[in-house]
Amino acid sequence: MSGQAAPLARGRFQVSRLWADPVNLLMLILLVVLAYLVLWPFVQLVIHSFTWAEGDRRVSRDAVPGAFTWFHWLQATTGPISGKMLYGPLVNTLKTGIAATIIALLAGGVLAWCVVRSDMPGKRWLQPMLTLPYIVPSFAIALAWEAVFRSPKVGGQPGLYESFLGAAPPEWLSYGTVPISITLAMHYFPFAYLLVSGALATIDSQMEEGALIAGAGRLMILRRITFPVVAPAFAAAFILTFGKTIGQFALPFLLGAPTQFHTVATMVYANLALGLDSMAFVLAIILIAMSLVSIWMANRFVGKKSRRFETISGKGFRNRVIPLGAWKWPVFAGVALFAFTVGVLPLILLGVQSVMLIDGFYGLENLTWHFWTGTSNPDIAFGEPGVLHNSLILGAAWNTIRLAFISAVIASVVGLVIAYIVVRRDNNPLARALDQLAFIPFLFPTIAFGAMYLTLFAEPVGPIPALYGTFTLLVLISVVSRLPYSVKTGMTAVTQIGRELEEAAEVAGAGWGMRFRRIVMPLAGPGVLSGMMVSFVGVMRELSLIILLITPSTRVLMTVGFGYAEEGMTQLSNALVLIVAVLTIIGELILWWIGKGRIARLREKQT
Amino acid sequence: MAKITVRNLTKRYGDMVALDDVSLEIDSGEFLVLLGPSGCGKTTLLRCLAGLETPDEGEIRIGDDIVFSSERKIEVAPGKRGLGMVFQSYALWPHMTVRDNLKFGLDVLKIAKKPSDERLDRVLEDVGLGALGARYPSELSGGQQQRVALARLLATQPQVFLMDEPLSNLDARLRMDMRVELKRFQAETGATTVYVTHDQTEAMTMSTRVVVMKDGRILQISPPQQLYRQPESTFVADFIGMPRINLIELAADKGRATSYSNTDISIDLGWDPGLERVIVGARPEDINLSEDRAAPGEDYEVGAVLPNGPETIVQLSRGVTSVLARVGHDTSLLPGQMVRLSYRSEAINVYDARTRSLVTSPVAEVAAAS
Amino acid sequence: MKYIKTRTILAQATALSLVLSGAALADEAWQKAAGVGEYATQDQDWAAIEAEAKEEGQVVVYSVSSRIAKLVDGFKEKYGIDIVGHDIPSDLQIEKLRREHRAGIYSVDVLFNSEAPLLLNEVLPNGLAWNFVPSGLEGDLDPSEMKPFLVQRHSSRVIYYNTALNPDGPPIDSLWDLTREEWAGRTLLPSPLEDGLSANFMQTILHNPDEMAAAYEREFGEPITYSEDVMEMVADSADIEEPDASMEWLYRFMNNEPVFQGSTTKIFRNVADVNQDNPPLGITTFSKMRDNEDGVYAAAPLFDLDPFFGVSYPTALLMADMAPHPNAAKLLIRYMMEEDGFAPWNEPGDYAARTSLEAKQLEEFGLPKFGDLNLRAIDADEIYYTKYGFLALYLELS
Repeated sequence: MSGQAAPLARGRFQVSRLWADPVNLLMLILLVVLAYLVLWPFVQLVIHSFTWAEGDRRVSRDAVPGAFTWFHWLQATTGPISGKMLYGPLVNTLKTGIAATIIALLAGGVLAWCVVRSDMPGKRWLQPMLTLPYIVPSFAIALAWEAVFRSPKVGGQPGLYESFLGAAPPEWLSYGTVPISITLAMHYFPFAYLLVSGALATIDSQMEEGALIAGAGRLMILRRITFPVVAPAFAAAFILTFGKTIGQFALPFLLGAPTQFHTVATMVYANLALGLDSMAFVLAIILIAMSLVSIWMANRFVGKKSRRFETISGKGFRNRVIPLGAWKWPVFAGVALFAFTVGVLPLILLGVQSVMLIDGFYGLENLTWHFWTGTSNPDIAFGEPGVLHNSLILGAAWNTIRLAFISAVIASVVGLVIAYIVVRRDNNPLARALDQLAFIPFLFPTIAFGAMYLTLFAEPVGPIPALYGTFTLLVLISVVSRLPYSVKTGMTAVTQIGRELEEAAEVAGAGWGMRFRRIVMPLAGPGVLSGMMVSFVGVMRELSLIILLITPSTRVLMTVGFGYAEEGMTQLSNALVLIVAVLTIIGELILWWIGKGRIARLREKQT
Repeated sequence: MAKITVRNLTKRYGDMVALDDVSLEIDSGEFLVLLGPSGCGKTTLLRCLAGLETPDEGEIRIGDDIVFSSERKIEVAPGKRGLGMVFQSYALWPHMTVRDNLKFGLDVLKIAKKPSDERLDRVLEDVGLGALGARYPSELSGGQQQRVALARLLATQPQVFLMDEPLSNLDARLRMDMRVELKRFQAETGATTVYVTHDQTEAMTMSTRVVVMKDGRILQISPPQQLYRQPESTFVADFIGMPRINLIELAADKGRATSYSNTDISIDLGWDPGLERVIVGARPEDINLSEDRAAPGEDYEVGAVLPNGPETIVQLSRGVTSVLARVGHDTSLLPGQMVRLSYRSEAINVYDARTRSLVTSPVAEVAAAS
Repeated sequence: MKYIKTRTILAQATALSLVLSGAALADEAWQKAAGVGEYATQDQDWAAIEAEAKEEGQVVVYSVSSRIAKLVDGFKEKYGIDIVGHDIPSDLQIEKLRREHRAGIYSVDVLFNSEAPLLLNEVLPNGLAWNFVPSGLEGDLDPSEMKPFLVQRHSSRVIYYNTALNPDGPPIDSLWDLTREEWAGRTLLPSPLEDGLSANFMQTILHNPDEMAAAYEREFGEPITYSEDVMEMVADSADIEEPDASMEWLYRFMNNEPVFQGSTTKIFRNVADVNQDNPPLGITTFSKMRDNEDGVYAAAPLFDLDPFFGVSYPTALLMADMAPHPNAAKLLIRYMMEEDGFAPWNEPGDYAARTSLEAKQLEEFGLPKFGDLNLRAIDADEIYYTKYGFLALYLELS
């Protein structure tokens, strides 16, 4: 054989091997599928933003549905309505997003310090309580807020604030930037709390003691040792919180709409409701851009090139706690009060409201179980029966559990397979591409992601059927949106499985399928199962992601609850939110039970 | 019937060459040890034999089968090569009991329940784990885990044993015991064994032949005794033996063909290698020390005396030349003392200072030939 | 090479057109079977329809009114057919229908919908739904209520005030009152951005600038003057040539801090709740009167409002294209036009399209005839084509 022919032969040889390996085949399939489910929708979104939509004939008589146009981008950015359509909502989104993020980071950071580094009593039961707000559906907090701070401007029964204090709450406390920021922060501070706790827990006291011996002052220790360790956690919390808040739809909608306070997310929804799809897509793209910019900034801040932050996982070694001395009990009281106010009080408020015959009318004679157990009574709530007798709600509950379960299982298994490929084929550029592809959904604010799938599966394309209005579509988007998390969980699990364990099976003659089934799956099992539970809970209380895709036959509890909230059937929506909260807490308890005490760590990995 | 032939095997990782054109023949039933410093390619070679790595070029035959050939585009899956492997970490499946760990391989081979059970019982009994079949690996001691790994290898009755530093995680005493066991099983089964280690004692005590590797190349393949006595290069000479061999670079004395010296010392080799500069290699035990000032040799000053059980290592110097010598445990030498030192010239190896490879004396050649 | 390429393209084009024409054929077959569009017949064989409807077993409705739920039991009793009612606002119905139709998902049979502008300009022209008029209604309906679509009733958006806390009668008498300082932050309405009917209400005001100008003079005793912002907006706008009284009203109204609420029920309740000090006014559905409850809710519409009482709009019954239960759909449509089926909407403020039913309503509720109310009907085409202009204007003035 000539010297020149040899490399060619080797090349072919490797190509043929590439195909023979089932993992490579799987990788290629996953790459194609994920590209279609992650990248292509974005491309579609961009294309559609430059296209006249059907409803646009109302917008302009020049509109030719399907034809190219700059119209929407021009209108959104420079048209006379750009202020109200884009810039106003953009400013509102930034204001609420940044304010909420700062509050959440501060609260989370302080709480993390109290729980991890101080000798505050009662940590054991305060810890789970501090994660409760994130478990509860986001708009529950908005509903509870409204119950307290309802403005007399909107008429009807006064809120609790007015009832007790006798004076109307100032308007800035009822609607707009302040309540939206605060409630968003209340919902999302557990991110910062968990991430910073994790980072703080990794600080070995010896590091600090070493510095003390070296003569460093407390401030210097904080600046040179503590801060660098927790900075990545803060940056990660920033990305997560900001990214989530800007994609939040329900909460700003409920607390902003009465005063026409719009964020980009609510504007996306409003435009779609008006049939102005292309305009909605422009806004969705801008929302995605905001998310990307925030990640880029956070990365710069930490000075890492890496696009994702490896959270420093606590090894659980004891670190020295700082005695609070006389402050011990006041700090405890403060933290406990906070945990109660953000975690428990909203649920109690909603619970009480759900048993009131007339919303907001506090009196014993006004109590009723009708909204829970009642059958249809034409005089109450348009004859809507109580949630436990309401076929619509029971159907939605079934849909919810089905959706959450199926999505969680698929997301976890696919996540594990992807994680396996990424970890075990780490020298293959395609595996790295797969890793990055699976991470991309994280970058899409949820409502924008929903908008993408609205365009992608609007009509059949080749062999791929149109999925709008099907349950499958909800499963699909739920799975894809959970992938960044489930891949991460999977990677942690797979990394812990020594490569040799698999090689031993390979030498014994087990094929890839058998190895995956008998070695990888059982060993990754506990981790993946907890991840599955987290996904289950996450999907169950998701609203912004699917609100655009829900049709009457595919309703879930959250959309029905949101519908009731919008319709002013407060008791029913409260009852529904409570049901979701209880289901979620049950899920969390199972999770706790699966990995006793690992919940916080998992969360940290998950989020 | 499991002779292993490796021909022109090359494996690269990017720019790094892990195996550089390696060829090797391993006889059926042989206990071959791959020895070398870390990163020398020994583990890569073993993994290529196992099929866990795909070489870039070359060919591997096990028995009559070609299990890998880059030219013929053959690659047989690890499980179909008829070999068993013990990993450094043992790679016991933590979610399976000891028995299930053993049974896995039999399941793959689709062996019926009854013969499978019988074989498992026998193997477990053999390695002394008869009572521990229902335990999980985490409930076993390190030595027991090692035995499980061994039992798992024995259970499938492969013709080839591959072992990747199987004893490195055991403490010294257990390691001794296991060496004996391993040898016993290897002898009983007659399986061709390829054993990777960086521990030369292990290599010396267990092997029929040792392969010394460095930078992806094979430096020497010899039976252990020969490897020790006649390392073919200064690298091998230096690598083998504890304490290290004394390597001293000397220049030919003018006019005296067999005598070489540096500024401090002079050695008469007793034969003429015909080289301008040589490196002599003298094992510590090939140095004679005498307190008798009239004894042959040169005067050295004792630098340090390091008793080590049955022997004592003495560090000596003359000028800037420093050597180590091995003496009996009953030595009375003290630091600072002057002693007469001579080299047992018949045991000294001579290397070409330029090529650093062994130069054989005609006498030795005659001896080897006969 | 070139030949093959051409042939491939041809084959693909043929396949595509086959798929398309396949869909068209399926739709045509459905129309024929359902007897709508070109295949609509004068004589409807109701016995056959009923028999087939019973086979179909259920009928799915997208309903603008939650009261559809009240029909379920009666319909089931009478025909043994289940109504699966989905309570969805009109514009959202059409949004969902459009997307489902494009996706080839046909799940709905009947649209009960108030968004005439969209029905006329998108739904019917694009074949998303079909008009079906049950036989026997001729003479009882105005021809305009049978074509282009069947009208079941006329609803209105009007202004409500709290009667318990305003014992002396309505606190205002003109739309212009809503722009006064004392009503700042005290008018509730659904946001025109989210609620199509609310936008229609505003648009109808915008379509009647002369009346608004006259009302201004009556209210303030002087001819209308325009605010600087309005003048500026007109100067900047490419489409609007001169300001008018409606724009001025919209501007002043929007700057008087109106409060937006998601649902008309919520608005009614917040207005009507007797347990408050300073009740707001609310723009909501005329028929919300039915929710009044002794000691809890007390509110009434402002009949005498200058220049008009409110904005009326028809609520249509249509058959969705490719409806899976076409016969049950027909049956339901007929049922909803009958006295029994109309019962849930037989409320003060909702006027049956059928003259005979309306007559009974007048007797029962003691309200004026629909035609005698000082209502302005929406202009569907005008609203459809000025929608975006309105949104732009609205956003700019607010």
